[in-house]
Amino acid sequence: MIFKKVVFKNYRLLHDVTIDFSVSDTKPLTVIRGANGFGKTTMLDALRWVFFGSTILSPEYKIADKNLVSAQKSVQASVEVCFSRYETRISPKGGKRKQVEIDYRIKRTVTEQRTETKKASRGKDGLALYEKVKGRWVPKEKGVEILLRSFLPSNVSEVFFINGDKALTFVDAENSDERRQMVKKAATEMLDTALLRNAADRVKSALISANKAEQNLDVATQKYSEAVKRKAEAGDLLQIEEGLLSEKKIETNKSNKAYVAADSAFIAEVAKGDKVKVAERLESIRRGKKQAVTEEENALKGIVGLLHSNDLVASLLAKPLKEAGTHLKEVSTTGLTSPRALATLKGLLEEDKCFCGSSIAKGTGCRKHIESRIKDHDDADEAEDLFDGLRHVSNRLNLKELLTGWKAEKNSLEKNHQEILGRLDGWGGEEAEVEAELELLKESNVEELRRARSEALKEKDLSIAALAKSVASVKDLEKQVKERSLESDVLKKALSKNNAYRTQIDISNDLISVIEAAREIVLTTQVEKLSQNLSKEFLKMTGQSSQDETAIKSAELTPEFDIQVHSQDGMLNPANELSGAQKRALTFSFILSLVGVSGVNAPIVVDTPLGMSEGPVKREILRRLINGTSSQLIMFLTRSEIMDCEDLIKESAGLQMTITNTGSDAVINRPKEKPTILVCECGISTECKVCAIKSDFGD
Amino acid sequence: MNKHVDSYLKEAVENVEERFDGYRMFLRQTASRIVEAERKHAIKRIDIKKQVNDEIAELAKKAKPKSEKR
Repeated sequence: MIFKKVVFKNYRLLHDVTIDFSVSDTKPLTVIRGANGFGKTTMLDALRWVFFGSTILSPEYKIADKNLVSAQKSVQASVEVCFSRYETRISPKGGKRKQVEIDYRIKRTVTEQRTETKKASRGKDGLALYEKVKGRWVPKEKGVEILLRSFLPSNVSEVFFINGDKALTFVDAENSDERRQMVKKAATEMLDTALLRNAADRVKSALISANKAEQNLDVATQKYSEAVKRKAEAGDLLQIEEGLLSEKKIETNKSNKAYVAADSAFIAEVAKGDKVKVAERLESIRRGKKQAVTEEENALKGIVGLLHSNDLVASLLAKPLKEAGTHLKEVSTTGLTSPRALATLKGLLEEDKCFCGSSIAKGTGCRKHIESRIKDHDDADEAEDLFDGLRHVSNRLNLKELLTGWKAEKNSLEKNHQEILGRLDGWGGEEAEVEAELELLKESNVEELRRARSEALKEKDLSIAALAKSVASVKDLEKQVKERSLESDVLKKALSKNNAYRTQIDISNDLISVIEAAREIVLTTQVEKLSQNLSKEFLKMTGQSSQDETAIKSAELTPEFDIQVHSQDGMLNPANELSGAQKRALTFSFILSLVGVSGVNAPIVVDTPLGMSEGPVKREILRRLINGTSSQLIMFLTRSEIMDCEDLIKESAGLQMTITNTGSDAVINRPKEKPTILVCECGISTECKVCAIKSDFGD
Repeated sequence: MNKHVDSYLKEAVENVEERFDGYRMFLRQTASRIVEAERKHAIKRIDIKKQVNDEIAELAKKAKPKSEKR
C-alpha cells in the first residue's frame, strides 16, 4: 500500500491542505517538518480517521476548527487520501492471475455542530471509496468498510500510524500485563496467529458436527437397508399384482366377450318371441276368460232367476189359467153330485148294499160305479177349488205391466250376457291365437339364454370387480413402491452425505493439522525471527553490540509476547530502567521487526519519533526507521528532531516539506488572516517568510 | 495481514497424506480460503460456520471420485 496524496478540508486547522507523498521506490521517505502545535499530530490523527473512522477518536476530540464553528453553526470536514496497492487480479486476457497496482481514493466526511459542551457533536461519518478503472474513479457501492478493513485492520492502527509518544506504551506501560497485552494484540494481529487459531477452531467445530453425523451413520445404514428391503418387497408384490392384473384383464375381456355373446344370443332369441312373455300373456288371457265365464254364469243365473220369477210365471200362466178355469168349470160342472146324493152313495158303500137291496161288495160293478161317482165328485170339487184359486190369482195379475218390466230386465240381462259372450269369444279367439303362438315357441330357449346371459353378466361383473380390485391394489402398490423409493432415495442421500462426512472428517483433521502447523510455524519461526530482529534493531539503534559487556546485551520477545531487555546484570524493566531514547528505540525496533517479519506492506506514518533522543542514538533510530522497512515511510518531525540528521533525510527523502501554523506565536511572519495550517515548499533545512519561526521560540 | 501465512500453510500441508491426486494443493487452497473467511468474519460478521462447512464439503466432493474408484 502506498499513500500518494492527502487532502484535508476543515479538519481542525487543516482548512485546505494538500500533501503529496513520495512514491519513489528508492526514496520512499516523506518528511513533514513542523514545530510543536503546527498540526503534525492533527495530520496523523486525520490520516487515522480517514482509514478507521470516528471510533478511534475520543468523545472529546473535536474535528471542526473552533473558529469555523463559531462562525457557522456547523462545519463539514473531510479527508481524502489517494493510495495504491498491489492486488492479485485475473487478467481479462487469458484469465491468468497476476499482481497489478490498483489506484484507490478514499474520502471520509463528517459534519460537526457547534457545541459549548466538552463532548463533540458529530454526525455519522460519510465514507466513499473509489477505484480507478481505465482512468476514471468508480465508486465502490457496497462493503466499503469491509474492504478497507481488509486493507488495514483496525487493530494495527497503532503499528502503522505511530504517535511517537503514545507508541511508547508498548514498552513504557508500568503494568507488565498491559504491555504484554498490547504487544500480543499487535503481534497476533500482524502475524495472524489469532486468526489461524480461530480458523482451526472453526474447522474443529465442523469436525465435531461431522463426527456426530458419522455416529448416526450406522443407524442411517440400517434405515437405508430396511428401506431398500421394503422397496424391493413392494416391488415384488407389485410385479405379482401386475401379473394378476394382466390375467384379470384377460379374464374381464373374456367375460365381457362372453356376456356380449350371451346378450346378442338372447336378444336374437327374444326377437323371435319370448315364450315366458307369451305364456304370461296366455295366462292373462285365461284369467280374463275365466272372469268372463264367471260373469256369463252370473248373467245366466240372472236370466234363470228372471225366468223363475213369479211375474214371469204369472204372465206366462195368465192365458193357460183362463183356459184351465174354463176347463175346470166344465169339469166341476159335470162331475159334481149333490151333497145329499153323495151322502147316500157313501152310505150305500158303507152298508155294502145297493138301492135295490143287492150287495155291493168289493169288485162289484155297482160298487165301482158308485165309487167312480164319488171320485168324480171329489175331483170336480178339487177342480172347483183349483179353479177358484186360479181365478183368484188371475184376477190379481196385471199382465201387461208385469210383462213390460220383465222384458226390459230380461233384455238388459240378455244384452249383458251377449256382451259377456262376445268377450268370451274374444278371449277364446285370443287364447287360441296365443296358444298357437306358444305352440310355435315351444322349442324356444329364451329362458336358457336369459339364464346364460344373467350368468355371463354375473361373471362379467365379478371379473370387473376383481379387475377394479386388482387395479386398486396395483395402484396402491405403485404408490407404496414410489413412497418407498422416495424414502430410500432420501435415506440414500442422507447416507451418501454421511459417507461424505467420513471424508469430511479426514479433511477436517487434515485442515486442523495444517492450520495449526502453520500457526505453530508462525509462533516459533516468525516470533523467534521477530525476537531476533527486535534484538538486532534495538542494539543497532542504541549503538550496542551483543558482545559489549558493559551495556545492554539483547532484547527479546518471549513466546508469551513479553518484550524483555537483557543487560550484563540481568533483565531490565523497560518501563523504568531504560532511557527515553532507549524506550523509543525498543518501540521502533518492535514495530519495524513486526512489519518486517509479517511482510505487510503498508505505509508507516510516524509522528515525532525522535523526541527525547539525541546524538548517535537519534541518528541510528532514524537510520533504522529509514532502512529497516521496505514500506513507505512518512515522518512528522520537529526542527530539533531533524537537527543533526539533515544528511540522512536528504539522502533518503523523496519529498520534504514544512507546515506552518499561521495562528502560532512562533511564526515570524504571522499572517493576519484566521489561523490555518499552510504547507511550505521550502526544505527541511531552509525556511522562508511563511514558515520562518522565531529563534527564541524553543523548538 | 501476515504475508507468509500461505507459505506456512504450504509448508504444513507437505506433512499431510496425499489422499488423492492434487489433494494437498486443494487442502492448502481450502485452508487459505478458510483463513481468509475468518479474516472477513473478524471485520464483519458473516456466516462463517456455513462457509467453513461448505469449503470442507466442497473438498470432500473432490475426494469422492477416488473413493468411488475404490
